[in-house]
Amino acid sequence: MENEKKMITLKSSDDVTFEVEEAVVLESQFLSHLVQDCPAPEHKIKEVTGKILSKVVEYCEKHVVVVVDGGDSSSSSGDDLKKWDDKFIKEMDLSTVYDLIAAANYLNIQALLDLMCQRVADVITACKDHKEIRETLGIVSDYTAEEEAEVLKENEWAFD
Amino acid sequence: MKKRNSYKRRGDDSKSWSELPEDLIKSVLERLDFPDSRRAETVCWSWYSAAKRCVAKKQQIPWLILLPDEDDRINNHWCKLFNPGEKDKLYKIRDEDVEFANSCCLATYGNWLFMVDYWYNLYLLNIFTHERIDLPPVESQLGATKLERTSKKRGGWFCLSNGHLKMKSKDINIESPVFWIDQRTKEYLVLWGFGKWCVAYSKKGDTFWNQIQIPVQYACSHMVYKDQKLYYLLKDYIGSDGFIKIFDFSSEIPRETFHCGLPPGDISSLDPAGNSWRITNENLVVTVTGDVLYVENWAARSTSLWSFRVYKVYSSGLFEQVDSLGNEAMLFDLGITVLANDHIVGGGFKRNSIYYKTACHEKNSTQICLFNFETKEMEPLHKFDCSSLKQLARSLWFLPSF
Repeated sequence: MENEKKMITLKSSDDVTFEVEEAVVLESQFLSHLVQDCPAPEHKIKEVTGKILSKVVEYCEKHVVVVVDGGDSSSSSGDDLKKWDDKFIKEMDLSTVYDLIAAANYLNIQALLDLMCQRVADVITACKDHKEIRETLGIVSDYTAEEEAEVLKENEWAFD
Repeated sequence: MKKRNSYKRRGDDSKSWSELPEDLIKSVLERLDFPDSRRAETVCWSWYSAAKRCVAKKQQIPWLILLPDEDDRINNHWCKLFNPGEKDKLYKIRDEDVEFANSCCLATYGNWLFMVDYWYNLYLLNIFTHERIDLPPVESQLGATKLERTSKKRGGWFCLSNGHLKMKSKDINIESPVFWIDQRTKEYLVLWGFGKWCVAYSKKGDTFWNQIQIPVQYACSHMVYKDQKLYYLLKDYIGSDGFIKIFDFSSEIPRETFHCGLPPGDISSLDPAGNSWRITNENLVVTVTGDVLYVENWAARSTSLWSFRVYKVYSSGLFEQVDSLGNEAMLFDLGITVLANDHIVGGGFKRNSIYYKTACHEKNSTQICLFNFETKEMEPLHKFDCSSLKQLARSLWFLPSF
């Protein structure tokens, strides 16, 4: 089995290449369809940069290995995986999180998308009010003063 | 809306969190607990509109709504919200147009309350947006049971009649009130039991209350409305006999689709040592997956011990005693169960437990308790700092939703 692993090359929008096992690619719904439909050895992913694709590959490789190794002791490897996920997202800046959300959505990797959305949810939870959320995520409010007053009134109770 | 690949533009300032596709914004917002999602939706328009379209994948835990005491003039327009996931705080909501102290909250559905005020005006109220939908006057009854208001005074006097019986009464008991409302279309159906007289119901557009007649000698004891079905428990006057009916409300005229008797009351297994146990309350409960449960609340005389016995009602009309609620928690008064495993937002709700109100007669007070179905032990939900011993009797669970 060990020798038969099929390798696939992924090329980012800025021409960075990654050689990965086929199993890694199968973590992505989008890529597994691509690989099935078009059995070329190299696939260009025009929508994702090298920097982000390296993160995607890192995530998928880790998750494939653990799932394959898991077998009997799935709970302990599940814990390890969770620790790895925690570390993976903690070290990441919000700009990368943003790109990874878009990439995970595009490549259809649900677990990665969930992980990234949870990270943003955690960031929001840590903010005390809407102003701090705007500041942290760099959002410029597009409410008029009246609209903002109205929305704030509706949610006034949540700001104690 | 931006296309999926819009993120590809270079530079951090082009990465605008407010311009993510709506399904991705929703995917973030749906992970927040209820207060955080409210704070987040005030950030910008796209988040606000995404929040309004959120169908929380993860269910929010139930909250408790606490109305002020009936004579509390100071807090008349305030009510408080208790989130079991954040026990150290009570959220306060003010509504200029509602006299909470002079009103009762009869039932809840999502963010909506079925309210009755001191003058027997019935209405639905969205606790967060303050939107109000007035219901037909209580005396606008269409059916055999007539209700006449004989005094315009506060509280009023009423005359009830149905051709055979006539009765004067100072109050009307609005029994086991239930309702459903569609958050977007505002379609609604409100139902309440009129003791031994009838069940009254009204839909959006009706200017009166329709009636479902109740068999002679029986009274409406408890109702649950879920997924266009009314689950309806009737007991006879003595309380020894009764039956369960299901009405289908999906067409214009409600149709009875199920009927069965009740399981035999058997106290032997609860307390082999004596027979001091008695049933204080029986409710129907419809679970998350649509199973119908018949639940008995037992109390031991001269102690403050409580217990529950739960039966599953099969479509064949047979009963089977249930010994676990699994990952669900039961809200006994609301007649529903909710998921209470690790996947729900906020935490603070315990699986395989029954949440209920208990009246403590010696202290003349009410407590909110939970009964652990596994250990058979009960504990108070929280030590509330109440203005009076009776305040918790007026509280009700509701399921906050986006």
